[in-house]
Amino acid sequence: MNTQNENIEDITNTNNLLTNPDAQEGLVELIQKLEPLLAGRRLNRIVDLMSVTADVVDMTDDYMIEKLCKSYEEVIGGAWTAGNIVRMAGNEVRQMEEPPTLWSLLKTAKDPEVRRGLAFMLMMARGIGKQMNQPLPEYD
Amino acid sequence: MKKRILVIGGGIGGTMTANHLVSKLYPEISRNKVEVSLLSNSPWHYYKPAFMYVAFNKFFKDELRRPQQSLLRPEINFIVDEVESFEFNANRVRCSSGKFYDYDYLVISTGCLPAPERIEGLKEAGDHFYQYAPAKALAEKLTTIKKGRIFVTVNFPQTPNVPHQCGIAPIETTLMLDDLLRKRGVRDKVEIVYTYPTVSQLLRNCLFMQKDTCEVLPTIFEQRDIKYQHGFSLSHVDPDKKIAYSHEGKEENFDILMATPPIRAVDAVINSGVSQAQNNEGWLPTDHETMEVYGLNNVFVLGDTVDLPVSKAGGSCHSQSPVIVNNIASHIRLGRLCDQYDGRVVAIAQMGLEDGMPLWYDYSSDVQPTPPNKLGGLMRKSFNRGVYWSVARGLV
Repeated sequence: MNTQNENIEDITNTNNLLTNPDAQEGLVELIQKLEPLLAGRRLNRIVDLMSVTADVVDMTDDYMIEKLCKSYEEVIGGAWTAGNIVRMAGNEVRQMEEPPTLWSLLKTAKDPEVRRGLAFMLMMARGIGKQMNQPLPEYD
Repeated sequence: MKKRILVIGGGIGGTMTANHLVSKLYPEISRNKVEVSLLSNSPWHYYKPAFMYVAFNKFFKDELRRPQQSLLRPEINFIVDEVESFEFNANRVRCSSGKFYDYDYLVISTGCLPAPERIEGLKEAGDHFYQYAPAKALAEKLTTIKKGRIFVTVNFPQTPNVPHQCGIAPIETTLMLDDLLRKRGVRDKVEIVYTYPTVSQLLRNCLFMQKDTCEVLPTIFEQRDIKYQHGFSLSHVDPDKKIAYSHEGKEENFDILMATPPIRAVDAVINSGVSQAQNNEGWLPTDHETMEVYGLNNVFVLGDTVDLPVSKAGGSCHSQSPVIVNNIASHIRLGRLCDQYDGRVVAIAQMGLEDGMPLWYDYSSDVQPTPPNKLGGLMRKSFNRGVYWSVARGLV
């Protein structure tokens, strides 16, 4: 541990560092590990990785962050909503002592929330249909 | 009253803008106050930069295209039709089907077209990689050449300070060519000569349109034994003798003439009468900050059709598109524009078949070239095969 009285020259002085036997031993181990990586040009990849990471940071702008965050919110929001619905529906079904009869299933449609949910499913079908309202372009 | 936004062009600029508009204006769209339509002359969306890879047998046609509808949010009204004329005074466009489409806001993203016919003999004797069919034809030649001379030329628009299509593409393809011929084992029998015209935007007698990159190119070329010349502005080509002539008085023989050809805007844009570009090239006079077309109300332009000094490439669209989206949204909501384009262009250059080099620049700073590496190449390949489609969908 360096004392507060040491200045930056003391800390970075290699001679001082190498007088510590533990540090010397660690450095030897590190060089032994690095040697084959240097010989095989594998350490270069680490430098390349740092370079590419720096590039990504510099290439990213506010617009990209805005779009990525929007995508993140949509994905997480969708998954969260779907998860809640599945959990609630599962809970209700598990509490049923008997499976509902066909007639009682139909009667659940009296519930306006069920009808709203069914309407949602049908609207989804319409959206899917709209996405597919043009035939696939012809391959040439 | 419902505001109608009409986006013209199903390339990357139009597609990402239409998707982003829906995302940005969803509160208005969900209340039926705004409608977004996209007009394209093709049911397919092509990843145009991949045409370059077709020339090196790295992409098949169905890998570089998707049905346009599959890339659009369902709220977008997608129409396949070709714009024949713009009627700016009436706020509408007329299409080849005879139908008219009205708008309150218009976004023009109709790209540009290679025009090798604008140089005598180039269409007959030259090859390029900026469209699928020519790239495929070039691939046949590059795959079979056993000896000879491949001559690379770059042709700028005559409108001052407007670049050719995808600024880095000639360097990318020259390096890819070197790698391909080495792989084929014929590199020692095929000479590659890279040339650049005397006038390249604001620079003179260089090998690239930006100074820093220009200075590192000789070393890169010499390491690969690629010959290079500056000051070769293609004047005409003799297809029979296979000789390329320059305005500077040089003549060079070739077996393959790999050219970055002249370019122009699409017919409807040229015929709109708005362009002030030279040589009937058709670039629209663009406010370099707001991306509006000068002299027109609520008309914006992006991508290859602008007359700005930035690269005609998807990497420019990616930074221009959000500015237009923000400006349309703020005009609808606040009655004024709120965003400015700073000239930013972002890309990953393919430096040979394996390596890549991320790059970016803007109005005030040039590209700072870094050593290309395999990781950069993997980034570019990942973009080509996957990330691009997320960009088109407006997710990135």
